[in-house]
Amino acid sequence: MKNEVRHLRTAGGLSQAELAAALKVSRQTINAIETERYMPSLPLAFALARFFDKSIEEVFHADGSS
Amino acid sequence: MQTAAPSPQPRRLVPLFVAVLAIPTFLAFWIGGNPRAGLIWGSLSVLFALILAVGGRSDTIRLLRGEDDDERTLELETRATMLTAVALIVALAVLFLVTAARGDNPLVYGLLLLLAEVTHLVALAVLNRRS
Repeated sequence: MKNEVRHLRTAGGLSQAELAAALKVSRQTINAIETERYMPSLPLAFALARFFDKSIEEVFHADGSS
Repeated sequence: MQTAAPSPQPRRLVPLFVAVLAIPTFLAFWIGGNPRAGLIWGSLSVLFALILAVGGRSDTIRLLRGEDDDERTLELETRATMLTAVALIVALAVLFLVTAARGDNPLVYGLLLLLAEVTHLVALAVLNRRS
């Protein structure tokens, strides 16, 4: 599933470690989500969307479109 | 809404647990009249504990220590445990068959296989009821 996490994070001037600390996950998990090697749970996906003040559909693209 | 983030374990907890396992290991061999083998097996436990304790830069070691636990590491741990169980069950089945083919009693391996299957069934039933 494609996502906008890296784009949103860099636009906000955040490092992976800072985003990970804010969401209480490891930096490796943020990296795995950004590189689409790991699909987050629904609670974490919502937490990411809320953190960036976006809807979940704006962060994650179920149909694979960017 | 909270993300599924288990509490990280203290850094030394897992290495300490593995190191402490050396004591009952040595005692078991000592009681069995073979303290030399107990020292060897106990030393292996301590060696593994040391690797866990000092291997801080390796992501895999950090995963083993449960240091950066979150939902992804929990999923990795679950999958790794599943693979471990499959490897053990295959080994038990092979040992059961080889022992039987040699004309020896494979009861121990059969009981362990039975334990694995019963555990699997009970776990499925409990998890199915809870989810």
